[in-house]
Amino acid sequence: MKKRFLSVLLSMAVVAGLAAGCSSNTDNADNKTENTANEQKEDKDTADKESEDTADVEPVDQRTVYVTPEWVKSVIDGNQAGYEEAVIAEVTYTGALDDSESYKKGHVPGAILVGDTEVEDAEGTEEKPYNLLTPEEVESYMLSHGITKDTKVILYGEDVSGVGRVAYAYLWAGVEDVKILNGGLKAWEKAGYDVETDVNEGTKADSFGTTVPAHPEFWVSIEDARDRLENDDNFKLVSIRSEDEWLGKSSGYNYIERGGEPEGAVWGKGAKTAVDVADFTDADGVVKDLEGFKKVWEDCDFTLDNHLSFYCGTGWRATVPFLVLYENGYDDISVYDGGWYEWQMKPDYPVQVGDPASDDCEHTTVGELPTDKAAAE
Amino acid sequence: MKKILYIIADLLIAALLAGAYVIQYFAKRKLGMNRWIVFKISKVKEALPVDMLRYLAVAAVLILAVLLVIVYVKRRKTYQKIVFPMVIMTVLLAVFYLIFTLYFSQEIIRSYYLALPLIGLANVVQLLKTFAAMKWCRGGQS
Repeated sequence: MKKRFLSVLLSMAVVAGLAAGCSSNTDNADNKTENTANEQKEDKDTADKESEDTADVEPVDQRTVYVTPEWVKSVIDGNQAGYEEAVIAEVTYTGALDDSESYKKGHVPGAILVGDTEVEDAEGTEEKPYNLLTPEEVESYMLSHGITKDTKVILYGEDVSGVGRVAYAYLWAGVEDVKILNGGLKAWEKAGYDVETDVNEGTKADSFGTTVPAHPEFWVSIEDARDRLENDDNFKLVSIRSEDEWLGKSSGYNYIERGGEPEGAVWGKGAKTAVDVADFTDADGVVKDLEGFKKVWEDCDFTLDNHLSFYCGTGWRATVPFLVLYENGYDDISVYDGGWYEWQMKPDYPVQVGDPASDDCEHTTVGELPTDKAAAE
Repeated sequence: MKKILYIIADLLIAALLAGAYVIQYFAKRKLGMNRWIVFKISKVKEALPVDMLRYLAVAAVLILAVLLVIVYVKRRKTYQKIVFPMVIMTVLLAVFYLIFTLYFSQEIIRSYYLALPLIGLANVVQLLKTFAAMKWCRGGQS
């Protein structure tokens, strides 16, 4: 009897336990479902709210290059008509995921990766002095990311001039609407927007839609630069280099041994060192507007009526003033791509060392220059 | 004492191979590093016939590695067990050096000409270490 009673008690305990367990699981499942639903609702509400937040962001012209984080967010939120298929891309040196720590840490949602070495060579030889790649190569890289002439492209990256280099190359190639998130990811995060770590890739395209380059006039070769310096009074070769580079005190680079400038060049300022464009940006790295550039150029030896062909060491810094003038409607502009790097490879090319307005300026040829002007390593 | 020398040799080999990797790591990520490497290599190329030297160097290492294997096979019963993995490692390192030299180039690996001497030096250290072990680690000695 006692045994039977114990068995019944034990059975009841097991059933009660199971029932409690099931009940608990059911409750948990119910709670979980409820929580997930709440979270989804909150996410949707947040997304809706964010989308509403950017609903009033003004559209910009096709030629506008530098745009605000708010404008980029409004594109992501679907509040900019015509930009639904925009390609957002972070620019790193090679554009390869393994080499792009900044991208892996977090990027603008939906951003793919592109690289400077997808638009310029990395050989550094006399035949390939860090100039733009061939049109076929640039086109091939763009198509691999799904970029055609009609694609709306929004670029950003850690290096203001590295991003400018890619934007310039895309415009030269024929992409009709290229934008840059002004201030990069720092400005994006400062505006309070989230980043993601998912890896995104573009969808390949088959045809670019026009012959690359659609704007060959934006690119000036070393031969053209020399010829136009000698024969075209309206042509101004504008050095976007630091004062020490401009005066020939230093080449600015640990891989260039000679200091000086092409004879006849004028100074467009812009940089404190060979790796910045500090005069053209504010303290947060946001590129100034045209008025800001005009102030920097107040006492310079050129006007905006001249044909301005910008150059620097190897064609990165020079793209920033090019893009600012481009977005303000100037068409008579270009970049002398080879810069001082290519010029100082030609022994018979004329150079000036020092301020050409002073009596101390030395006029000579590359072959006569000393080779002790490399920047410290 | 001999053990310490082996450890120093191993550390040196690891440092040389790591150095080759680190140079390439930064060459791929940093514009300045990439161009500095290109510049340094162009200077070395101006001063030395590097294209010929790289083949001579890898040939010398391969000959020494083959010689080492022949000596080991002939006298393998006289060596202690520790010598065998050293010989294997020497052969593997020499094969890696050969493949790296022949298969890659500056176009594929930016730091190619800087990595070559580092890998070559790692091979030399490995060869010296193994030849020394074959001399020291016979019979009951260690």
